[in-house]
Amino acid sequence: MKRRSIRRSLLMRCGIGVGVLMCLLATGTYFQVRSGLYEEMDQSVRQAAALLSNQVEYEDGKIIFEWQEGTGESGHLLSSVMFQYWNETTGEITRSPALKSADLPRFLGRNDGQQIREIRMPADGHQARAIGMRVYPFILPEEMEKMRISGNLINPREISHILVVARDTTPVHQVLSRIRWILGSGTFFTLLIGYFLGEWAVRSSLRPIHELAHQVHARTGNPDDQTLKLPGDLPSELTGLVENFEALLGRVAVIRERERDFIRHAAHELRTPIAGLLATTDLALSKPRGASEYAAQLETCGKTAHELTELVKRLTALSRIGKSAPPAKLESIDLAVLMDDCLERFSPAFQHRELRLLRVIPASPIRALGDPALCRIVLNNLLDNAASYAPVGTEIQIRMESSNGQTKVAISNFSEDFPANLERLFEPLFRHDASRHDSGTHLGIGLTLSLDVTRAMGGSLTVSRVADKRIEFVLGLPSAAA
Amino acid sequence: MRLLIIEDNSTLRNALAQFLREAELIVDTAATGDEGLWAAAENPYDVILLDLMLPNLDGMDILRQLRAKANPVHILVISARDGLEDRLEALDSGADDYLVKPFHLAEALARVRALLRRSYAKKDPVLRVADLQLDPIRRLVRRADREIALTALEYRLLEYLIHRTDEMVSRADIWEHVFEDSSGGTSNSVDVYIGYLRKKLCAQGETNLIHTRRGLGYTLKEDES
Repeated sequence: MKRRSIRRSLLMRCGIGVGVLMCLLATGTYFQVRSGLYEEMDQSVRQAAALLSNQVEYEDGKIIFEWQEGTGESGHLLSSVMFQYWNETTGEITRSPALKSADLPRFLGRNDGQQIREIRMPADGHQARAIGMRVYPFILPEEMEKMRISGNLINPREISHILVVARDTTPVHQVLSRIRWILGSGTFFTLLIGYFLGEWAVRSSLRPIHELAHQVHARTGNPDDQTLKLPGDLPSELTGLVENFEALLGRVAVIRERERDFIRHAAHELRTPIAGLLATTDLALSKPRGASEYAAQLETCGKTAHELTELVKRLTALSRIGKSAPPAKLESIDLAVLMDDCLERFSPAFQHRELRLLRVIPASPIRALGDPALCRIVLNNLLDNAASYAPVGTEIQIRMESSNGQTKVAISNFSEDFPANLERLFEPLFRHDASRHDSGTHLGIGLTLSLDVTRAMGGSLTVSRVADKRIEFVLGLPSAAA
Repeated sequence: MRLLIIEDNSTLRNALAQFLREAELIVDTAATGDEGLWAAAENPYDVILLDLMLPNLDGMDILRQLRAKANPVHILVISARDGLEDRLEALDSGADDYLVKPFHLAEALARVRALLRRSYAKKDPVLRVADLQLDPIRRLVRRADREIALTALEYRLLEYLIHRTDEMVSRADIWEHVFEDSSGGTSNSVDVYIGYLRKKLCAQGETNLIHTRRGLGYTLKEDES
């Protein structure tokens, strides 16, 4: 499966981002310039129109266009535009020379106001900006006086003209075209250069990841649980990843160590009964023997095979630790009665090791919510540990109490050596001491199983040091109604 | 030759003990560390087979305590711990040999014999004095070409004396190393069995090799001088 590439993704995203930004900037710039140029164009058309509107004069009973007599300082402005007058009274048309006989479109703004619009030049079809307006001839005071004397007073509004002034926008379009090309090519080349710079930047930014990947790869071939040799200039963005990775590797190392412990302990636990089995068969085969001797040796082999089966069962149980336990069937149990049952089983072991038992149990029933079978497993394990690990001739204390909805069973015994971190006692296969305190198959899984089943019942199992070098396990279960 | 097996696994302990007894060795057993240490300290064993993981007292502690008291007994460690560090620790702490479980009884016996030879500075697996030969592996005794049939106790007695050739061996030593506690004999039994042995070894008029040192004990040697 093709994997998503961070490099490609970064380049694509940066490219699209920068590209869109550049396009927006270029487009904005283009329209800003275009708007400015058109504004300038319109301004010049308005100026020309204003000039031309002032050059219509009524004199001696006729309309005179001053520009036809010489435009003076305005010549340059008027030469750059085309214009046309329509006499609204007589229908007479006056054109700028450049128009020759062609007509500009005749138009006005609303309410006889001005209007600027886009038109096509009649001669060459070029686009142009044009302004249409109504103008009234100017009548000199002397001419007015003459008309008053003659009694033929004319209102200038009665001899109105429509003036349309147009200016070719081809130069503006040429400028805009050049600007479009400059902005387009500028954007393209900027993106192209940006791509290479981005590629370089992304590659150099991703280099620590590659180095890290190399370290990790190199480590996979290393059987030791060493920490990573991190590059000194590791970016801060990767520090968290590396720390989490280290933490993960640490957990993996712990699991591997536990697996090694498991294999070592399992091998060790299996070796001794196998040695007994091998020794018994060696003995049987070392010389011809009587039937009764063979029978005894076969019986020993059978007993050892049963021990091995039990051991394998424990190892299998160990492999199940950590998996979700089946839901416990909770019911009301009298823990004092259950404890008596369990103690009966351990009574010979207590007597053999001269262990004294001190029970502090209330007279009333101690009822808790739990699964009888699971509770029995926990109590048996705790008593088994006490019977095995308490020094000969010492006292084992059992206390039971109910308060605040909790029923607690505390079993404590004297212990000469226990680990600094007592919680380790609940770790699978953990055995603190080098020697075995009893000859049974203490594999270091009893407390782990007990913790698992206690939790399955919604209870708690804790361990703590108490006075006089005693170690105390406390089983806590929800109290049940009497 | 008296051995002590300190091993908590009863199956292995019993099988090993029986096998070694059938090889004409005197074998005592202990199931716990403290019991084993007491036995080792109280009795002059030739070899101790010592498990490391024991109830009450660790095998390594037993080893160190015996060596701290300058106990010269040869110690063969038998352990399920097969790590190099375990073997090095045991050997460096004074063990003479190390055997990893599971093992064949024959190998355990061979190693015990090697330690016994080392105890008495012998290298030849067949023990010889003049024309007397004792083959511990095949359990055969010869005088020149003549095969000599011995009882188990006579065999053990001869083997012990051959191991201590040219040395003066007291009756007490012989009693401790050759006779089982359950044999029910007295110290006179040593003289009786020495007499039986002499008779069998010199049945065809061969030279006497077992010489009496009055008030002291016996010496097995080629020439009485």
